[in-house]
Amino acid sequence: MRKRLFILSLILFVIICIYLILQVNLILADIASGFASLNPAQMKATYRVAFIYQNNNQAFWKEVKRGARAATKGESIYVNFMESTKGQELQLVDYLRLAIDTNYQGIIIQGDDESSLPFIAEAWQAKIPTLTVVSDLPDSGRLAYVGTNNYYAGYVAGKILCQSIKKEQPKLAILSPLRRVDLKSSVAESIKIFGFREAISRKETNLPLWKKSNPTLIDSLITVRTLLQKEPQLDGIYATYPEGTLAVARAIFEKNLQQQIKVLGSGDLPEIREYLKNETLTASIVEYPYQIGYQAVREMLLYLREKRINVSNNIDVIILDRNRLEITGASK
Amino acid sequence: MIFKVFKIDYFPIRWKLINYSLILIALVIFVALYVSLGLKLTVQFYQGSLNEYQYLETLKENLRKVEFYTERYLTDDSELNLKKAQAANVEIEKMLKRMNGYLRMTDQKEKYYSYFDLERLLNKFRYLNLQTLETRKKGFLEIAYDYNDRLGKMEDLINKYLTKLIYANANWENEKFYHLMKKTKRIEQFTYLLAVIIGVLSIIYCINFALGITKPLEQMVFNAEQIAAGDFLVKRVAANSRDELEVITQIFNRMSQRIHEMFVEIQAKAKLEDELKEEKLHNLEIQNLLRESELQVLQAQINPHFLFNTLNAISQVAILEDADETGELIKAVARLLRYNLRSLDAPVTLKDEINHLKEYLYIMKVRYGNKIQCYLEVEAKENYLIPNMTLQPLMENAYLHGFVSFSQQKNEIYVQIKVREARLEISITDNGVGISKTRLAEIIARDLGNKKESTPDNHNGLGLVNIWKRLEHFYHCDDLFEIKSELGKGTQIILRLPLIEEAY
Repeated sequence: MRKRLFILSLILFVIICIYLILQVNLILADIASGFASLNPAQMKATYRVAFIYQNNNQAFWKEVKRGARAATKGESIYVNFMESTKGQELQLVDYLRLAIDTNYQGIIIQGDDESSLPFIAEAWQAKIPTLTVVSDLPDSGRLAYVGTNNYYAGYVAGKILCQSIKKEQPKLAILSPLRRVDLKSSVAESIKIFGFREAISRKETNLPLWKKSNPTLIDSLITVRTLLQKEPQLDGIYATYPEGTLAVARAIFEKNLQQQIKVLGSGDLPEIREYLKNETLTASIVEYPYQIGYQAVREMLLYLREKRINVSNNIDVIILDRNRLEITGASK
Repeated sequence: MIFKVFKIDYFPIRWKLINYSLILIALVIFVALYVSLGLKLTVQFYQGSLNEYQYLETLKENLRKVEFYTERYLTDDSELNLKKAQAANVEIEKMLKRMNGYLRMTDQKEKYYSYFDLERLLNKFRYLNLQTLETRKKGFLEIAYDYNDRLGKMEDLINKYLTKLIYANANWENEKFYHLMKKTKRIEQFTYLLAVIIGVLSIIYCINFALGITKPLEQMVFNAEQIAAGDFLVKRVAANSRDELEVITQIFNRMSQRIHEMFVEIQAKAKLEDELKEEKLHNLEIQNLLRESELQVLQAQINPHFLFNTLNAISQVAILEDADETGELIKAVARLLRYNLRSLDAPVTLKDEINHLKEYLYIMKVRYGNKIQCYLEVEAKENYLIPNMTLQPLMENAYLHGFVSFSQQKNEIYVQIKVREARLEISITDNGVGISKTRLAEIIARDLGNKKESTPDNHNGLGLVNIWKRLEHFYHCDDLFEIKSELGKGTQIILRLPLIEEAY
């Protein structure tokens, strides 16, 4: 009996040793593969597309990228995300030049910077098709625009805010990540605000107050608290970005000003939904960045393959209010 | 004695130890090799990262050189600057070839395409540079300046891109490093696990090995001590280690078994010898008794036929002379004599023995008259066989030693024969002087020690002990005889003989 047990344990030992050695071997092979030569042919995709954007909203662009990546699945396309951030040397224009110089087959660019107009034309001359996403540059000679109709988004926001405020000539404020003077640096933002102002102008409101904040929650909160202190007669606030929306909602909730100040936000976050539920927020304009990214890549692929494109690629916005919370479900 | 030589296939302890050590050493070396390999790969990883960083920095430097010397060549048209610009350009070309290596080396798609872009940018840069130099050489200054302008912008772009690439590279390497760390951590965990398993199993093996050796040895020592103490029937030592120890154990088991068998054999022999000796002694004793009896018979048979015939003649003369009683007496003596002539070995019926006793009593009655009264009481079948001359010597003893004087009025001897408890019980009781205990012991001792001595006491009959021995030999048992005696009151001799009926 003891002998059998001994032999059994010996066999077990050998099996475990072999298993462990194989495991270690696999890991080492895995590590070594990092240094081993790979066939570049495996890497080579039929189409190289440059996706150029200015990252001023981390969460938003993350979703756009996710959508774009999803669109590449199973396709012989490589989308190179060229992200320009503030403070970085390479800006949108540089990337655009780079994409032209390195002969990308297609360029998808955030049409937010008017300085990129000549390069889009240059690309077109170099037979590189360009799509604008998120914000449009209609005069650039781009192939098409894929993204939210920013004017509509802003207009709807203004309309809803005005409807919710019963007062004549209400006092309104805009919370934006851009200063009024910097508006030209973001076409999307400027069009959105333009739409908003058009909507509120019908109610003969005063010029809205303009508040700029960094697109972080803490900065936005500070800005909103200061605003509320300085402007106790405020009737409504329109926040153009999700962090700003959260900051406004929190500040209003803290001061219990839900009845006095109506808030219109942007984005779909669980916290935003909570504030919609308790009526701190009147509504939130929700864009679909995932859809934008996905659609942009699909459109580019369509053009590269078939040389045709859908002219209208506006991605709808949803007005998320208390009644629509359950219909739309929780955001990702 | 030839012992069977054991021949079993066994795995020597020496080999067991060597094998175990080799396996252990191999495993430890294996683990050590893997750990060192892991370390080497990690170092290689770091080296690769640093090399890449250095490569990108050198590239930047070369770009600056190209731009610098090209610009100087454009302004001074010197051969030296042209060569330097061209040399820097060639240097970039060489570096581009190295870049192919980097392109192949990476498994990260993002990195691959970034290097791919860089390669294209550099190629374009080189082409622009060569164009600039060429047009300047040809003297097309305007075009050369235009090219140079584009070259400068491109250099600026590449520089920015390189800076970004260095930064991105750090991220990629970091990502790779994190991945590597996770893997090396797993290697570490596996190594620990392997070490623990090796350790535990080594302990189990060692204990098993040690117990496998010491247990049978301890048992053997214990058994050897038992054998030394004389206990040859020892427990078998169990060992199934398939090594020398098993062989030794088996040999030891065989040895102890053989010792035990031999001991039993010797014991049996000794017992047999004892029995033989006893039997021999027994036979000798019987022979002695027979010889003694026969001698006595012979002594009594001094010309027995002559005596017998004479006695018969005297008896007839006595009858002729009208001395009938004398004649009858002499006849009785003659019959007695004839009965005595029978072989002592042959059994007789109880009837014959009683008849003989009656003859004897008749003679004694004539001899002693009414001084001694004899009573015979038989309550048993008379066809039982008993040894010849059993009753008469006992009766003779009673007559000769039972009574000192016959002056006493009531001198009586009772003879009772009956069957009791499946034995023929013969009791001869006298009311004579009796025998003291010491005297009784003396009589027995004398009879035993001086069987051949002829004393006046036993001259006319066979000794008591003689009768016992004969009876014991006849019946093959020793609980046949009993003497009860009390000084002054009498003696009782009881025989309890097994029942043997005469076959018809």
